Amino acid sequence: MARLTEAERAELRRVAAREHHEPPLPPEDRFVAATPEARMRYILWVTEAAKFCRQDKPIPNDDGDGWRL
Amino acid sequence: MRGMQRATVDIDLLVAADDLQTADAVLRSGGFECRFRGENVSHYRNEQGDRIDLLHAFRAHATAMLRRAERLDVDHQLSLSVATVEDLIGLKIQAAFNNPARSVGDWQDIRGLVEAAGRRGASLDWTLIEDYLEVFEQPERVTKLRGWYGPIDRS
Repeated sequence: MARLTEAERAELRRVAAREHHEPPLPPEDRFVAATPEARMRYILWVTEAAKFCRQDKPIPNDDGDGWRL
Repeated sequence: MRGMQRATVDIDLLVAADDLQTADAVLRSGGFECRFRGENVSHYRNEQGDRIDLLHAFRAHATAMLRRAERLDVDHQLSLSVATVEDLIGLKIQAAFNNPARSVGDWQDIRGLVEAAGRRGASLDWTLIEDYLEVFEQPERVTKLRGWYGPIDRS
């Protein structure tokens, strides 16, 4: 089993102690333009991304009782 | 398709209950296998691990979504039938309600949908959005949603 070294732990503690500000994403990264080209670019990207996000997720064996729509 | 990058990543298709058998045949011919079928959803997966979920439309709200869906052009050679922004918000509220552990991502998506609509000045049917919030007993959230839209749309 891999463990962090003391130096790595110290570095992580040092970084975690700093105040962290993440700037908001610029509009071009948050929104998809309402054009066919932009939609296709997003579809191609999200198709690849989906493989990383869903491949190992278990398939549920029931669909719950919360469905109302 | 509705102007925002999703915080959740998967493919959900809303299918009329009467069309489920046809959808099943299409997906099987494309190499997908049905791994679960319930009253409300079916989950398909292929050998590469790609996953497609079918949401079964048989209640009034979902069948109305199918009637309201609009065809959007993709790359000038393809058009896809896509639920309206309001209906996507309804489905996202449903998803958050079904799985509270994932609700942060679903509400982020709702925020993105509303902000994207506000940004391009598209009017939203707030009565329908309020209906969806009431179905899931969260009517108080509408104020927050209107705030995400911005100062223009108060219809």
